Amino acid sequence: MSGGKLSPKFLTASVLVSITYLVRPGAPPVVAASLVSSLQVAAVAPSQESERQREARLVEGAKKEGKLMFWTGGTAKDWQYVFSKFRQKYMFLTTDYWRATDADLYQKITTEARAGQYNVDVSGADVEYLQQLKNAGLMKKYNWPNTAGWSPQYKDREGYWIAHHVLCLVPAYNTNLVSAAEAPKSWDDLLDPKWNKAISMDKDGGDWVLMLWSAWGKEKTVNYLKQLARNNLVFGEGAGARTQMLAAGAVKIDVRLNLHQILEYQKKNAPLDWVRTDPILSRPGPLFIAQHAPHPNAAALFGDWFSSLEGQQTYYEASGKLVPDPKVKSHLSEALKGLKISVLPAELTVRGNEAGAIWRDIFWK
Amino acid sequence: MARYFLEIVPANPNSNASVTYRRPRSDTVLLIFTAALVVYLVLTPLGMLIWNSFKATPPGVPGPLTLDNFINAYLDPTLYPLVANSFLYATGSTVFAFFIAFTMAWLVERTNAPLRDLAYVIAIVSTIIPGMIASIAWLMLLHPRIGLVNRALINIFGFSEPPFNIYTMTGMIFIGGLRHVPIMFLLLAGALRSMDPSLEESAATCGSGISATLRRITLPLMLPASAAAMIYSFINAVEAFEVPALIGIPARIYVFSTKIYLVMHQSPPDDGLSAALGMTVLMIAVVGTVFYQRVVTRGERYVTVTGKGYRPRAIDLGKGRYLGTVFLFTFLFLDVILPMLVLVWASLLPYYQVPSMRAFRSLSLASYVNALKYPGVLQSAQNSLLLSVVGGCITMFLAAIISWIVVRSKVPGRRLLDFLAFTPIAVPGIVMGLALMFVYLNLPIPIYGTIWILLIAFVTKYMPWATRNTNAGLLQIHKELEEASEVSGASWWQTFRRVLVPLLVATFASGFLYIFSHIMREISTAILLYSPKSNLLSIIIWELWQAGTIAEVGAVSVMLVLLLGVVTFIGRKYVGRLSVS
Repeated sequence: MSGGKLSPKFLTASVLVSITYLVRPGAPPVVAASLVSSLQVAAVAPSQESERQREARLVEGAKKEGKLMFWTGGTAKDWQYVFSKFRQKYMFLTTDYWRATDADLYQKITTEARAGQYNVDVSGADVEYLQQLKNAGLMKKYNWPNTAGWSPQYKDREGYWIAHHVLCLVPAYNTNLVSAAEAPKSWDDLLDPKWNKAISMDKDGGDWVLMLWSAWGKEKTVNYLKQLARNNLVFGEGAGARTQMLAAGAVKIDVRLNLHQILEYQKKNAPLDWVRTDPILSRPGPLFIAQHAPHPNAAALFGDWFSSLEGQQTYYEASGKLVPDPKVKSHLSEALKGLKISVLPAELTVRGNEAGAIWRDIFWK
Repeated sequence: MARYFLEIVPANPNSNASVTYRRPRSDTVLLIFTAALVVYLVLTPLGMLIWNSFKATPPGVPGPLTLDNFINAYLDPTLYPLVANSFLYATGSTVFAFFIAFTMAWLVERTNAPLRDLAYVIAIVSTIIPGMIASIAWLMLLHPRIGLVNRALINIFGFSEPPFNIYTMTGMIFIGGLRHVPIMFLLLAGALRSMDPSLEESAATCGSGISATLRRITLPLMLPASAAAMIYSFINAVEAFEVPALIGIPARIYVFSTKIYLVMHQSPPDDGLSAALGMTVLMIAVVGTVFYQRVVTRGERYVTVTGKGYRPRAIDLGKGRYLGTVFLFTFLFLDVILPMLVLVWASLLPYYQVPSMRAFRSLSLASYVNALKYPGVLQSAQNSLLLSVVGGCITMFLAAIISWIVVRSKVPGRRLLDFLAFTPIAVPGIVMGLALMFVYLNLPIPIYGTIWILLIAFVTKYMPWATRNTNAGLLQIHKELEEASEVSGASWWQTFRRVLVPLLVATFASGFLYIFSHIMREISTAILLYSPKSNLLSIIIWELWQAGTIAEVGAVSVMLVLLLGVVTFIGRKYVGRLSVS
C-alpha cells in the first residue's frame, strides 16, 4: 500500500480473509450458505468443470434450497407431468408452479420486482414481453449446457432464454363446413370475400404479426393484415377454446391455431384439417431463469435437465408440442415434412410492442 | 312468544330524530374500528386507481403527474361508441332483470301461486352458476351456427336462417339481464317480505284490484328497495366482464370493462389508460351513488317494519295463480335447466359437438375423472370454500355495521363512508388485484402470496353489494324497535345483536349466499394474487377454458354447482331456523 491507494494484492488478500471469516465454522448460517451458494453458481465457469461435477455442485446447492418456483402461461397438466419426471431424478426438490396468461405473468414479475421481491426461479414468457423483461434486468444470462445442437433460432444469442417449445401456427378449417375443394390453400385464399365473418382469430395477435413480419417483411405484412381485416374476423380467446369452437362448427376457418392441437383433435375424429401454407409460421416459446431467482441452484438444475434430451423428450410427451432439440422424434416433424417453415428470429422479438400496436390499429378499431 | 297486532302505522316522513345511545366505550371503539377498516380496505385500490390515472409510468415506477391518460382516453374516437354500448348494455340488462325479478318477488311474497318458494331455490342456483359458465352455456344454445336452440328451431320449423344470434347487443342484454335477476330478486323479495302489507290489504278491502294495488301501493312503497336494486345492477353491469368478454368481444361490441381488459393485456400493458377508463366507470358509480343516497335519505317515509305485526296475507290470484307458477318455471328453465343441460352435455363429449348419433356414441364420463385428477383441484376447492365462507361472513358483518352508521347514526361523514364502501364496484378486478399486490408487497404485513390477501380482496370487492343489501334491509326496520331496546337499558351492541341481527337474518342470509357464490367464481382479482398454495377452483375452471378443454370445464362446473347447491340448501335450512318468524 502506498500513497493512500490500495494495491491489488492487498485487495485480493482482504477479500480472501473476509470470505474465510464469513464461511468459518460458527459463522451465521444464512450468510455462509448464501455466500457459498452464490459463489458456487456465479464463480465456477462451466468450462472449468465436467458435466458430472457441475451437476453435483448444483445438486448440493439445490438440496439446501429445497424448492423450485416455476411460472408459466402453459397448461398445468403438461407441467405437472414434466415436474413429476424431474422430481423422480431430484426427489429432494419440491416444485410449485403458478399459471396465468402471459400478460398477467408479466405484470406479476415486474410489479414484484419493483417492490424488491423475487419469487420466481424459472418462467415462461411470450415473445412480445422478452425485450421488456430483458431491459428490466429480470432475465438471467445463462450458459445453457445442452443446447449446442439446437438451431440458433431456438435460443437467445446471449443466453437470456431458450425455447421450451416451438409453436407451429396454421390456418385450419372445419371439414363439415368447408369441402376440400373450396378450402383455402394459401395465405391469399384467406382474403377471399366469401370468408367474410367466417374466420376466427385470437383477439391478441402481436406475436402473429411478428411471425408474418419475419416471413414477408413489415410492409407486406401490414398490407396483408389490412386486406384480411375486410373479412371481419371473429375474435376469440385462447387457441384451445377456438379449436373447440372450430371443431363444433361455430366458424368455418380459424386463421391461427396450434398444429399440435389440430393433430390431437384429428385423432379424436374431429372434423378438422389444416392449411399447408407457404411458409408455415412458427415461433419459439421462451423459457428463462430469473435474474434474482430465490433458488438459483434449483433453477440451474432444472434449466440443465429441461434442455437435456431427457427433459425435451418429457416435455414433448406431456404437451405434444414440437421441441427445439432435433434429436426428439416428433409426430409434428412428420406432419411438417417437406414444408417450408418460417421461424420467428429472436432478434425480431424486440419489435414486440410495435407488432402489438399494428395488430390493435388494424383489428381493434 | 310475544304476539304482534296488525295495525297501519305510516312512518312520520318529517321525522329527523336520530337514535342516540349511551354507548359504552367498547361499542364506540368497535364502530370506529370497523369504519376505519372499511376505509382502509377501500382506499387501497381506489387510491391506486386514482394515482395511476395521473401517471404515465407503471405502478412503482417514478414519473411525473400527467393528464395524458385522460386526454388519450377521451380523444380516442372509439371511446364514444364504448360509452353508448356500456350505457345500452347496463340499462337494458337492468330493466330486463328488474321486470323478471320484481314479478318473481311479488309472486313469492304476496301471492298464493303454487310452488312459489321455488323462486328462492332458482335464484340461489342461478347465482351459483358462474357468469363465465352461463355465458359459455348460452353460446352453445344461441350461437348462430352451433346453438342447440337455433338448430332445434331450424329442424322443427324449417327456418332458412337461425332465428337467434347471441353475438348482438340484444344477446348480451338477454344473458346479462338473466345474470342480474337473482341478486335483484333477493333484494326485492327481502324488502317485500319486510314491508308492512297492511296498506295493501287496506287497499284490497276498499275494493282496489290486484293491478291497482300493485301500481298504487306496492310499487311506490318499494321505491327505495327497487331504486337500490336497479342502481346496483346498473353499476354492476357497467363493470361486468364475463358476458361482454365472451359475447361482446367476438361481436366487436366493446364496453368499458372489455376495453380496460384489452389495454391491460396488451404489450406493454397501459396501466395509465386503463386507470383513466376506470376513473370514468368510477364517475358513473359516483352519480349512481348520489342517486342512491337521495333515495336513502328519503327512505324513512317508506319504513314499514315496525313493532307491530307485519306478516302478509297472500293475495288470491284465482286461476291465474298457475300462470305465476308457469312464469317461475319458465325462468327456472331458461336460467338454470337449459344452461345446466348444455353443460352436462358438453361435459360428456370428447370435444363439443351438436347432438348427433356420432356425438351420442362418443359420450363418456372421462372428463369427470380427468377433472378430479387435474393438478391441485381438491386443494383449490378447499381454498375456495374457506374463502367463500369466511369472506361472506366478514363482509356481511362489516357491511351491517357500516349500514347502521350510515342509516341510523348522525355521525359526520357517514355519507362519505357509504360512498367509500360503494366505490370498489368501479375498480376493475384486475386493477384491484394489481393494487393489493403492490400495497402488500411494500407494506411490512406478510400476507402477500397467502390466502389472506385473497380474503382482503374479496371482502373489499363485495363490500358495495353487501352494504347496499344491509342498507336496504335496515331502511325497512323502524327505529322504534331499537328505541324500545334502548329504553329497556340495552347497550348499542346488545341492541345490534339481539334486535337488529335477528330482524336482518334474511338479509344476511341472502347477502352471504350471494357473496359466497361470487367468491367461488371470482377470477379477475384473484389471478394476480393467488399463489400455488392458495389456488382457487375458479382459476382452475378458467385454466381449463383457456386450454380449450370444454368437457372438463363442464365437468368441474357441474360438480361446483352441485357442491354449492348442497351448501346453499344446508345454509338456508339453518338460517330458516334462526329467522324471526
